[in-house]
Amino acid sequence: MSLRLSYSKKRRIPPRILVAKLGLDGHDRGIKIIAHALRDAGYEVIYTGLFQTPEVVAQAAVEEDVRIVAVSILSGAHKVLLPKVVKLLKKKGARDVQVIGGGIISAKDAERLKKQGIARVFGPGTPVQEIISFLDRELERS
Amino acid sequence: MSLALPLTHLKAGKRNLARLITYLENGQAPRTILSALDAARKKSLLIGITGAAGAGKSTLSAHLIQHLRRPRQKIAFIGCDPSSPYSGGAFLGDRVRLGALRDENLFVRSMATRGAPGGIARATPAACGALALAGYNPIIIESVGAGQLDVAIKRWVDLAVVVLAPDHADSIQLAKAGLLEIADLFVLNKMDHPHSRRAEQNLKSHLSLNRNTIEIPVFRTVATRGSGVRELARWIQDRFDSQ
Repeated sequence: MSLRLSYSKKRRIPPRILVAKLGLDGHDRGIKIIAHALRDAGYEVIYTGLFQTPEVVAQAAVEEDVRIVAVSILSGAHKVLLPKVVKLLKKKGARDVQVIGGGIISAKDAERLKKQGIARVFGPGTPVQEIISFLDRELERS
Repeated sequence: MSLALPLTHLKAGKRNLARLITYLENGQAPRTILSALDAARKKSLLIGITGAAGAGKSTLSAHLIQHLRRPRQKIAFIGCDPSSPYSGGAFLGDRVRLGALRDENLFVRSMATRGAPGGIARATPAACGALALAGYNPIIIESVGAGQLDVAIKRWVDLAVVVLAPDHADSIQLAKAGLLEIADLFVLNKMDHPHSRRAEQNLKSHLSLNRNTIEIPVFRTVATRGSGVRELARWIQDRFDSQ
């Protein structure tokens, strides 16, 4: 790894991303691994902390002006909570913000969530690089 | 990309304000706007919270926000965290301590330093101007976990609060120049810590050496429980409401 001491000379703009834990779910190992990997991939990662509501997450996404919100849910409440975030973002005029999910989510649920506006769902065992590549591609497009 | 946003729209909603701060962070705002924001900054009371990593700055700020605000008053918080010198990325964790604080009248923004020295981001002062223009007052700015040289915040704020934890307050460390000199007031946090009494004595004896005639107040808090923060908020209100 090389030390990039001259930020000002080569001003690449770091992408910003919000990573969130929703609902009654204290399992944050996964999201910390993702956050760390994204940090090392050059992302500015804003972490909400545990036990957040869809309202808090949607408001944070607006204030932080992120393009992508990555939500981790391992409690089984994804069918309720993830669509709520999408809905609230729309209500706040932030249609351009993409919501992606990660956690123990069945293929059937993932399909349904896709129809409800969740851009992508990543399951257990997904290589971190696959997530980073997906995000890089999405951000390039937007 | 450049700025296509009249400053008059800032009050219309958080989206515009948030987008403007992004432009400021990315260095995409034109000079005319920067000078307007520079002037606007004086509209609001700027409170700087600084101190070492883990001293309790964010936890303290969360309670301070609740105690400082009055009904319908718009209040803002900018939390700075360091950018990686390797990847350019950052982990911005100040929201974690703010927990479920959320309402229309609170605006929270996380900022990475992106290589700026001194403890705050290059765009932080301009972002304060944008927030002030949108009617947020006061604005709380939290520096990165500060080292002895991270004094940049002093130049921009009306009140510089230095947060100390008991383990950082031995008599030799307190004698050192830099960060500890910029305090308008000290918060000695973690007063439930076994070393807290001695730390307080050290700090007071150090402050008694000041040739400056202005007395620097010391507040004692346990930020995780919120104790002592009410007194701090009241002191700030008393001092700045009269002006």
